[in-house]
Amino acid sequence: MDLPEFAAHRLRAALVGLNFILTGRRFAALAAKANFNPGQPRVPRGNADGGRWTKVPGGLPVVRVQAGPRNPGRGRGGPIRPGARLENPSPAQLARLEASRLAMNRALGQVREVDPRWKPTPQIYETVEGEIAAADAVRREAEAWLRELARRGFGPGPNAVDWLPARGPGRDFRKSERDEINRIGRKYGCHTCGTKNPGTPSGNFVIDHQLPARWALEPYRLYPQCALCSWRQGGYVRSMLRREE
Amino acid sequence: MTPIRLNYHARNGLIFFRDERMTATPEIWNPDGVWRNETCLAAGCLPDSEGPTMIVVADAAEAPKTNHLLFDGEIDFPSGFAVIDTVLDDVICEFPVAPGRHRVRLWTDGHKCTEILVFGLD
Repeated sequence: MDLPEFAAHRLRAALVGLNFILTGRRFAALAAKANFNPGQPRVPRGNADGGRWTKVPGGLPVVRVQAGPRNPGRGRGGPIRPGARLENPSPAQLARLEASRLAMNRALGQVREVDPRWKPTPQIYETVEGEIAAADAVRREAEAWLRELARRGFGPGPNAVDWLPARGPGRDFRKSERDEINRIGRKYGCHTCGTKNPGTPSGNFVIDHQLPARWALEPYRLYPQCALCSWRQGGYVRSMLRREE
Repeated sequence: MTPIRLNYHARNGLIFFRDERMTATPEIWNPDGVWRNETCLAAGCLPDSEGPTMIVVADAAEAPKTNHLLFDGEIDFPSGFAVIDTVLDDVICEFPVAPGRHRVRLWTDGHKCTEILVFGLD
């Protein structure tokens, strides 16, 4: 190799090295801007949250409200955490957050027993107070949907006091079952609207499976229902079937 | 058309008379016992726990009319096929009709939970 060729090789090597150093500095600047800390511990592999940041060093645990699918990229489901912004919540905030999360999960569980496909409106937040507000919003939305479902005859209604265990999803009711449902209906009314007039030609209450047999996991319960609420429930069941398709 | 006559235990006491391809369900809320949208007529009948409902479909001129006309309006059947089905999509019967809008009349026995539904098509 002659001298000019050697010098050219040296120059190219120097340029590559310089480019490497500049790239590294740009990456470091970006990492600092994003609050990236490579020393921050992560959840061990094998956990549901494996690989995610767990704690700010020396700080309190990161708290997160979750509902619905874990993948927020789908654009559906409950609150999502938009970034890796962390803060140290006070013990009072943690307590309020935990209470909000518990109430939200209880309400979501109740809704999903009746309507497993229901999803709350996605929530975005960046602070602990935001997470608390998001959990409260999801809880309120779930409770409102529960009331709406009950109004449509889905799930035991507000007047569901007494009920009869069903032998299964079938409609081959015995006379004793019909008599007992009529007794409950005359005493407490239609489980959905409360009327004591069943609206049928025979005067019998409609025997209503809850949950509707299409969705229920056993055991079923039988409640008295009036004809109008039975119609409304039927229309809603049909709409939900369409939604499933 | 050849008249259709059958007895059926209708779950939730509901029968849907609709175009085969159109699946939108009318909003069932008012207590009138009949609900409609462009392509579907829903009718309340006897709940299955109360017994079967007699369903008759025929040309209006030949239909065994009762004294209680519950519905008189137009329903669109763009596919050229009409279907009678239930809350859970169980098809009770289907038959060809001329594609397009038809005048449909519905006669009942006068009770909200009627024991007979007579659909008359023009």
